[in-house]
Amino acid sequence: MLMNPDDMRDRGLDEFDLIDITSFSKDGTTRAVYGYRAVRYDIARGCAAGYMPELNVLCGIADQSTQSGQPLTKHLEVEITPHQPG
Amino acid sequence: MSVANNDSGAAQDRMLGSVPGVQALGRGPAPDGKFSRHDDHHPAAGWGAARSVGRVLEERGTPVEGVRALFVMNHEDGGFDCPGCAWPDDPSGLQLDICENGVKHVTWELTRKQIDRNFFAVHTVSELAGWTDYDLEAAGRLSEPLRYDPAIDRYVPVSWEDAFELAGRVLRGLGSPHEAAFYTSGRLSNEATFLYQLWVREFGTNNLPDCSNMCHEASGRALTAAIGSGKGTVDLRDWERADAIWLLGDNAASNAPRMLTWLAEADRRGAELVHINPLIEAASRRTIVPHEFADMATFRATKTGTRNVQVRIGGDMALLRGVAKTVFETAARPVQHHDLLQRRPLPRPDGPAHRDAHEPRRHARPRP
Repeated sequence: MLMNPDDMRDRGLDEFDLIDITSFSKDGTTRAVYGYRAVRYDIARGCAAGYMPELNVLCGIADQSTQSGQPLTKHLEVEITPHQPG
Repeated sequence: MSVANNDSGAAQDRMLGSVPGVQALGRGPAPDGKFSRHDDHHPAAGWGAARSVGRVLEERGTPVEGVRALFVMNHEDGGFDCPGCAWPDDPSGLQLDICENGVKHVTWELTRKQIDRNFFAVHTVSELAGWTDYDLEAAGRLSEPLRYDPAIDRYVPVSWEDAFELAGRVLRGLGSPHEAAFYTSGRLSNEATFLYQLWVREFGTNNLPDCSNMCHEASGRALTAAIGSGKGTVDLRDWERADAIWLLGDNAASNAPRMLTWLAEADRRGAELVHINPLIEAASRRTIVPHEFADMATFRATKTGTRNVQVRIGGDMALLRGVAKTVFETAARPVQHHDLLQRRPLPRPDGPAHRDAHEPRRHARPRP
């Protein structure tokens, strides 16, 4: 996950620390992926970026454009926390 | 069948990171345990790209055909279009108009690696589901029709006659042609795509989704609503005369590297190059264009951006609205098509064209 360095510091994350990512869909459901790595990047504060296809799962069925019918993968609300080992 | 699917499902889950408490494996080649990252201060393309091209040709085992193909790539007259990106061909005939990613695409098209029934006799689908995407592609290309047999979790050979018979039987069994969808992607040639859509429309449906829906459907809908055309309305001749070029959310170095040539050219003649992107991309700074031999020899980089505007995700809409407002309020002379714009005011921020990003989310988001 490409993250703003200040956002990482606020969450106690160092470079390449393992993280869990939870997304919040428009319909109120949540989805999550576990055990990814945080990577510093020159990205605006409060924003994070990852890649498809592995993060497609974070986009809920309700998160689609009402005009184009396409998934809103560029505009998901997520929470990033340190990885909780099982 | 259910057992087989559970196995392949577990492998997928581990790769995607959908198992709580367990580290995600990822879909690429396994790292050697060490992670490293370096701030990207070197110019995009240049010798790094040229070295990579050489390595790709060598690894794919196609140096001779590969090099021959590079000389006719992206020539408007008599060449072929690279399947890598849609950047247009230079109408004045730029030679060696290629890029690192395009070379990978084209050499892959030239690969001699093949897989057949022997490969699938050895590997079950559940096992292959645990392979990385890279390893799957490197195995080679299909060389005969195959059909999945759930009883043994393997692809088994099927004759062309039986394959066509099976496809025909399934399609004829549908209640309506619209129950079927026919997916394709930009990796298919123009000629094959033409035949494919001809067949599908003859069959009786227009259900032809493709990967460009994902990339362009949103912009296409919005552009059609705003200007009446779903595509860009400029070509390279307009680009050559532009005083200012605005680039929103692009990453030319990865997605359309041949654009770097034109960004460098625009900078040399003094055009303003404004990049708007939450992520500062390599192509928004400097480049060394690989086919400019003097620059390559002297490591002379050319700027590909004069200003980076780092907005938050979705902040480009606020920025552009502000720019439009300022232009309308401060223009010394009436802006182009002023009368038309008076009759058809810009969409309101709460209008339907802006609903997606502003639609309130119904969940109560936990606060840290």
